[in-house]
Amino acid sequence: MALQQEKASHDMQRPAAADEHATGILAGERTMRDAEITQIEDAFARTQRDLARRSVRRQLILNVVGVVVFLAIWEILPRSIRGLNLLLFPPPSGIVDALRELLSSGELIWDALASVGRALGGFAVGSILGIVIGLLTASVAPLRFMSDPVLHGFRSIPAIALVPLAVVWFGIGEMSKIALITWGTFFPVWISTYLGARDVNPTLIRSARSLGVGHAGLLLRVILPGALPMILAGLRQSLAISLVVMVAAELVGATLGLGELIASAQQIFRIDRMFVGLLALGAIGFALDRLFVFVTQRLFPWYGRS
Amino acid sequence: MVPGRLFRARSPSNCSPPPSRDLDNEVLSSLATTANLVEVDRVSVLYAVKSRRPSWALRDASFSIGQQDFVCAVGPSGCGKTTLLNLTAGFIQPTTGTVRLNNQVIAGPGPDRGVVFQEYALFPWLTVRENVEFGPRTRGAPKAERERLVAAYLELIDLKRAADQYPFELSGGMRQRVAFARALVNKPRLLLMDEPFAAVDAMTRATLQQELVRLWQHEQCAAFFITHSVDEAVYLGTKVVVMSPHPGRVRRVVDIDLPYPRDRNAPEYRVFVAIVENALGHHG
Repeated sequence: MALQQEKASHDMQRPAAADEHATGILAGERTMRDAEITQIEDAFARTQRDLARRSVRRQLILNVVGVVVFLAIWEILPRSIRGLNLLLFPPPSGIVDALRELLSSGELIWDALASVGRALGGFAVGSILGIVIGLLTASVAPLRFMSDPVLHGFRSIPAIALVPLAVVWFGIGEMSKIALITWGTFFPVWISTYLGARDVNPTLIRSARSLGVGHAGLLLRVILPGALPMILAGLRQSLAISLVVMVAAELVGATLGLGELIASAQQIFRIDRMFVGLLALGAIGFALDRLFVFVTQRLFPWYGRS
Repeated sequence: MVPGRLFRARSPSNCSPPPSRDLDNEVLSSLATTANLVEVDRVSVLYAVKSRRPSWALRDASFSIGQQDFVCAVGPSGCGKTTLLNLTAGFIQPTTGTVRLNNQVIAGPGPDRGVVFQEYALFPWLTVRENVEFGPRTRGAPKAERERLVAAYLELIDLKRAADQYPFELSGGMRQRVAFARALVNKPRLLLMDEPFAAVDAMTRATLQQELVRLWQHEQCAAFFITHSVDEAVYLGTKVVVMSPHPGRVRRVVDIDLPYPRDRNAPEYRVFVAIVENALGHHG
């Protein structure tokens, strides 16, 4: 707005010759002072910042509103159905007590820590194996052909189907749980690393080779970062899988863990405690996923930007 | 098809030139000067096509690149010009014939031949500085030398201010200038370029062409440039290799005897454009 007014006022001060009219806009710009330019830029930047802040605030408010609406429906629905046992279908207000109880006794914290520790431990082992084997099978052809049938055959076995076997082999301690989570997280990471490494833009590989890079350098400095977008997608999927397998393993037998919390609550018919366990799992899954996105954006600013 | 230029199968080891060879005058004269950087000698490249007879990407092509030459290969798509570049870069091997660099048969890619591709060849996970640093880092240059080299070459392409930006933050023209710096920082004997300006707008292209001539003169290396634009070939090259498709072959080699920087409006310039266009035979 200010810019246009500036131009208009300059045009008016000049005699309205045909020639002058054509150069009017240019002349107006030339006489704009530096201070004025900075002022306009600052004002523009301020408006943009305000707009961005307002949009973020709006989003957050809507997030909270969504949660409140959901809780309200959950609170009202079980009460409005006649004959429904509120102990079997507890509304949020019926869970608060159990939550307080489990928090103050420290049970919830220790169970959550034990579960997250297992999930992340298995996730770490499975991911590292998946990335290493994925890179190797993608870049060494004989290795790929040898491992293809075995790996794809094993991949088709759901990790949960291995729970009984794992208990027989490793007992109900940490070992069997970590092993199962490793199994479950390995395959998505391997597959996505393999595909990502195989499909690295050949022009990038040629560029690197004509810049003098050798086999190891090509793998670590070109193929690995080139496959990273796919690897990250596989890791994110595996992170969710690690929680699923973790709960399945804990349900079979554990002394600590959110799966154990839920299983033992069922034994004593404490549905409210079961809900606390479920909510904790949901919160942990959500938080881990957010954390993953945050960390990848920090570590790889180029990611997702081509 | 001219019978005298029909392809003859030869074993790659039998590469001493037979006395009675049907060669263009241009090629003969360039053979006379023994110190050529690159010798492309009766090279053919076939590639397999499913359920059909193999296809010729290149048939019986011969030409040379002198130590200070700027050779442009021009022709329509399918004429094998990119195949020629891939051979010289060492990305592929000829089916028959030989490509030699300083009298050594080219076995694979190497930092003595810098390559600039059409686009998307910068490493997207590295900043401008890190992209340019890739070559020196690969050969294990010490940190101080790497920093000096990167600074010098970013200065040369006038992109010091963009040193810490990622490729996705740059315009197409800026990306290609970084690609040139990344190739030249290795001090290659030969700079290979595969239609590097095809994806940038016309105004940027004209600027980049001027800059390329300046870079080539500054670095004193040889250059091999692929294009489908006659004007671009005549504007840049000391020598234009005119090619024709199906099968890809060298039709003629034209020496462009004009000083740099070239003036597109000069009558001699237009004469050379006409000669090259004529040699192309106004193909499709």
